[in-house]
Amino acid sequence: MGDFSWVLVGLIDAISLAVIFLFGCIGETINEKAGNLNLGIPGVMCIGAAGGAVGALVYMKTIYKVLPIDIDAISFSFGSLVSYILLMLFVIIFVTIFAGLSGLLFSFLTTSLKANQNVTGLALTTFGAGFADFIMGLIRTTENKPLFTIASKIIRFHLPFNEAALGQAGMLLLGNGLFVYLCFALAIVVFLVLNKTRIGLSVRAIGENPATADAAGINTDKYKYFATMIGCAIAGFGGFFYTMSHVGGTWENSATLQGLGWMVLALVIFTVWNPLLAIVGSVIFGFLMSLPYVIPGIGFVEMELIKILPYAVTIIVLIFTSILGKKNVLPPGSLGVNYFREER
Amino acid sequence: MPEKMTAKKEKNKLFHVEKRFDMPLWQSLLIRFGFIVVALFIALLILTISYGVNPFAAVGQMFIGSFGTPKRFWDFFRDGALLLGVGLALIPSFKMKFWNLGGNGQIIVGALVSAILMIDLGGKLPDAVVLLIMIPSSILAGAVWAAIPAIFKALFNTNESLFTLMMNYVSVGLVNAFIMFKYPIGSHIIPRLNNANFPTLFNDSLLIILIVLVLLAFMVYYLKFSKHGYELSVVGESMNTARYVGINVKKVIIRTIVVSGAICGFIGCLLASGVDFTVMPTTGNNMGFTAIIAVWLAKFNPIITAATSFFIVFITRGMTKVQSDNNIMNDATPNLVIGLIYFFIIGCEFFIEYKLLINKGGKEMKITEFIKSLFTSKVDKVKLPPATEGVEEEEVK
Repeated sequence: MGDFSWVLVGLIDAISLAVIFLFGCIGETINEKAGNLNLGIPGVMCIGAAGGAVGALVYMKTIYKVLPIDIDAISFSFGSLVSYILLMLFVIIFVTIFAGLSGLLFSFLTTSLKANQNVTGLALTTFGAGFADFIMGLIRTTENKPLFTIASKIIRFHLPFNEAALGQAGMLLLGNGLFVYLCFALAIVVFLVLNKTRIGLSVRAIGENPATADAAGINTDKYKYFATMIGCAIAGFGGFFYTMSHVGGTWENSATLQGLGWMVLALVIFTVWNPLLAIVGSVIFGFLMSLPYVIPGIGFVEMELIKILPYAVTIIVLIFTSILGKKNVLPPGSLGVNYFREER
Repeated sequence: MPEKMTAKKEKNKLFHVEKRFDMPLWQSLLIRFGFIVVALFIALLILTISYGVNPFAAVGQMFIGSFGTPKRFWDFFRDGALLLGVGLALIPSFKMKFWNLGGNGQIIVGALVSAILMIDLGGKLPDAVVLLIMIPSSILAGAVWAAIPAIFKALFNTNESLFTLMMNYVSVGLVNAFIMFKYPIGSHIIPRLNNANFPTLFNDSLLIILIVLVLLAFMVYYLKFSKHGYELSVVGESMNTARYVGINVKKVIIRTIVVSGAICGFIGCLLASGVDFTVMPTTGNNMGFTAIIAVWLAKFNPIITAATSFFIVFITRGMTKVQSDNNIMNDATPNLVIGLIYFFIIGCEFFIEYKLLINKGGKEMKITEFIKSLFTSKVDKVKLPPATEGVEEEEVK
């Protein structure tokens, strides 16, 4: 039998990618559950990345100047924890504002101005990519670049375990950044809210049939606005995690992140609009993404063919669910359709 | 009257939205133009504040970027024509309410097939023969690529927007795999393919422009005067109506999407053999997406699509020029500006399609009248009631 240690290496890589996917997927699932097919999610993730970078920069330029606590990955101190929490506070505020506003824009155009969702989404993706490149071009000056590297180190802060104590498999479970576990927890919370609460029921009702929901006394516009804004804010963290953690505070251009954003749309289908399945699905997608780079001795052609796998698998899931036709695996009934009360 | 009842229920709301049917064309064009100007103004303002771009010079640079030299002039018309071509391909499927987001993929497989034939047959057979094989093959490739989601849509109602979207990435993967297969060593870029290039007329661009114009004429005929065009618009309006009048809905869906994909495949052939002389994962430069916006802005009208396509290409090329002239290092400007303009046009459609009525003291009035009333009410309160009553009368009509 061959040596399969590369699987472990692939999985460690996969977790980091999975967080990007999972944030985006949770966000887009909330969007789609409320009936908004938001094709702007790649753009929203780019905007979130820009927001995260701005937030990190503001922290570095203000608090870090006074309280320069760097994080050494192995040593765990109270100071480093404070530094981490403060930075995350800045980042969370900025990402939520940036990405949330892009969600506000999307829902204003589609819900209030009744614009076509596909077109608005594509426009948002174009704009978001341009916006992120633009903001990054402005703030990533030579003077600032080292600050991003330090911020990224702080964001990668993890519990005080090291490989010597836990081994590779242990690191896979416990050695990730704190943010990774937050993301997984968020998926569970969103699942519970969507499926076990009254608010979630209302959101799903609007996504299935807004006219019925409206007749039942649910304020469809209000719910669509909030679902889209919250969903986009969450998706924005995927973009933030990509720049500030996955690639270590660098930014070439928005193209790669945009590509990951399109995969998020595939992932939402793959996980049949279920945030719990999304946890597994995002790890699978992450693993498929990292696979070409970790399989020993793989040829170039096979490498490229493996990269198709996530999309091909998604297509198969899409076909199977539509043939199966069971209610809980189908797309929300009014997905992509705007609701205008007087047009019933 | 049910309409009266909803109106009563809405009384306590500040705004009331109503569908509008009566806006004259000149007025709607004026609104659109106004919004575009505002969007451009904001975009230039952003560039001025952040990079110190001179906004007046920038307007000039935009024109120079599109028309400045003969090459730029022809490139502008060629790019616009190609975008129009993709738009024409998408119109039938969108009119049928089939959200074909797979234009990119259909273009790419067309280009891929062309490139494969150019590499494998070019030089071995006479160019004319290769071209005669190549053009139908890439058309077929595009058609097949589009037909796969269409068949599943027709049979199982599989969501077409998500399916076609995924097909894009599969096609990109195939191109990458092909390049790795053929050129495993070095920089993995296909060198310029010199055999079996698309014929040219006077210059590189003219023939492509003429072909797209023919395509435009064909599409106007196909949508307006042919039975196919009639059937697909009925299916788009209501599948049930189509069934009642005896249209085979499944057949129409598949046939229309095949036409759509075939044209995209042909555009891919033009790109591979007449513009890029190669195939890349980025072939088509996301035209499949850009064209969606172009045709939607044109309300699926082929002739207006020509205008919107050229406008989008004008802004993109113009902003690229503004960016390079002002030494803006990142290439964000075209996307940022185009995105802004999209938002404004998308938003302005609302004011063309709907009437916004403002509720003031239980009376609904148009925005203009509301603003007027703000000024008049303080000066002369007696004049207000007749003005609002006039609106009520108009609505009853």
